[in-house]
Amino acid sequence: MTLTRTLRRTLAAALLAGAGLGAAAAAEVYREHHPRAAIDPAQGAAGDFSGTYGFWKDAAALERHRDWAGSTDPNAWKLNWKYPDLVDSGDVHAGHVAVDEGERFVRRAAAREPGFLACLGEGRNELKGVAAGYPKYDAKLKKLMTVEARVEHCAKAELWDDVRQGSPLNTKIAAYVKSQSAGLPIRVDLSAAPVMAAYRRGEQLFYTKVGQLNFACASCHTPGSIMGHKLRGEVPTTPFGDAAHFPTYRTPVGEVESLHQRFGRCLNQMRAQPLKPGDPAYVDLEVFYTVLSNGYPITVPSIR
Amino acid sequence: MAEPMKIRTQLNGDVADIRVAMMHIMETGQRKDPRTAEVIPAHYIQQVQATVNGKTVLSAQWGPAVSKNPFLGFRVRGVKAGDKLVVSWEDNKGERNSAEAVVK
Repeated sequence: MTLTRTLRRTLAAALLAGAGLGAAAAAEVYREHHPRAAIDPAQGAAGDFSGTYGFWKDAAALERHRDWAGSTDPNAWKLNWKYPDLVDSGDVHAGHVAVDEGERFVRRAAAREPGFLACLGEGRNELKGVAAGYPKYDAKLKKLMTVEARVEHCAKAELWDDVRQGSPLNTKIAAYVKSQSAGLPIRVDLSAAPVMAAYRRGEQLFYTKVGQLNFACASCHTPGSIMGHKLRGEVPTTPFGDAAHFPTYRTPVGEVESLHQRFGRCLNQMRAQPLKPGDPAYVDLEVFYTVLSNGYPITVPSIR
Repeated sequence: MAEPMKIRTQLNGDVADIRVAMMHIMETGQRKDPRTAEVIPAHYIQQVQATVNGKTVLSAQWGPAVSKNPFLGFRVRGVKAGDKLVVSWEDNKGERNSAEAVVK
């Protein structure tokens, strides 16, 4: 058995049942894979393979095709749903309320335990720009950390409080932390070996087919797939730039959702067993997705 | 305790563009809890009122057809910067909430 095959099977099992399942049981799982698309991790969002980057790369580009927004124009998908983020839209939505709630919690907690803010800010007593480098490898904890994982860890370590990933409070605090980096380009440091390894694992998961419908993320979000064509009522868009607006207020759900919760919803729609937010497989997928948004500014609070 | 509201105002000449995000569960009373098969009691906003400097500029009767976490946008003429805007609602359980903002 080649090394890649072993790796593939282990990863497939991780997606199916979390990292808890042993490799021995996993060896029986048969998996198919979507053909790979060419992605250069060094390019970030600019490396978009759908050819739509020019339509959503900045406010000026979005402004040019504003009449497509929310219309039935067949080109509307090329905006990659980035138009709700336009700053001058003057919008106010539940995402703003969630950020306010997150801020109130952080302020109250920091007044009680100043270590909480220092923990979130990784030594600094402020959160400006902190989230732009996530997900990152924490050498002290020997773990890949997402913003949500950092919130959970800091609440546990400093407040002795359980703010689990996927809970509404965790997502709101994460939304606040990310909103403090709004407008700053995402910079995931791929030079760190564990992050690069996670990127490769996440890339593998992106192409791995799962569930009753035998879908991979790539089945709908790569060139030559359904991307750009109708899938029931929607048109699947490029995965590039998507991580920039999470956690986001989801109108169909009526809640603020983190990227991991969104992954879970995707897996449900693919009729696969979703994993818990914070699962190592989701962290790998988040690293992969966030690298696809490298260089693209964070837009939190947002609405989708 | 009712959840907070968020108000944003934008003044163009003497017309104020007002946007309000309310947080409310807006239960219709038609849904059943899938686990217990019991009807989830209706809980929705019935009365909405907006005042500028104490004078009512908007009064609305809402029902269960309005979505969860409603968004309300409206324009008011004859408003100047510094005016005090109050938006309040009352739901079918008698719960109330209101939020203030200064027009700018």
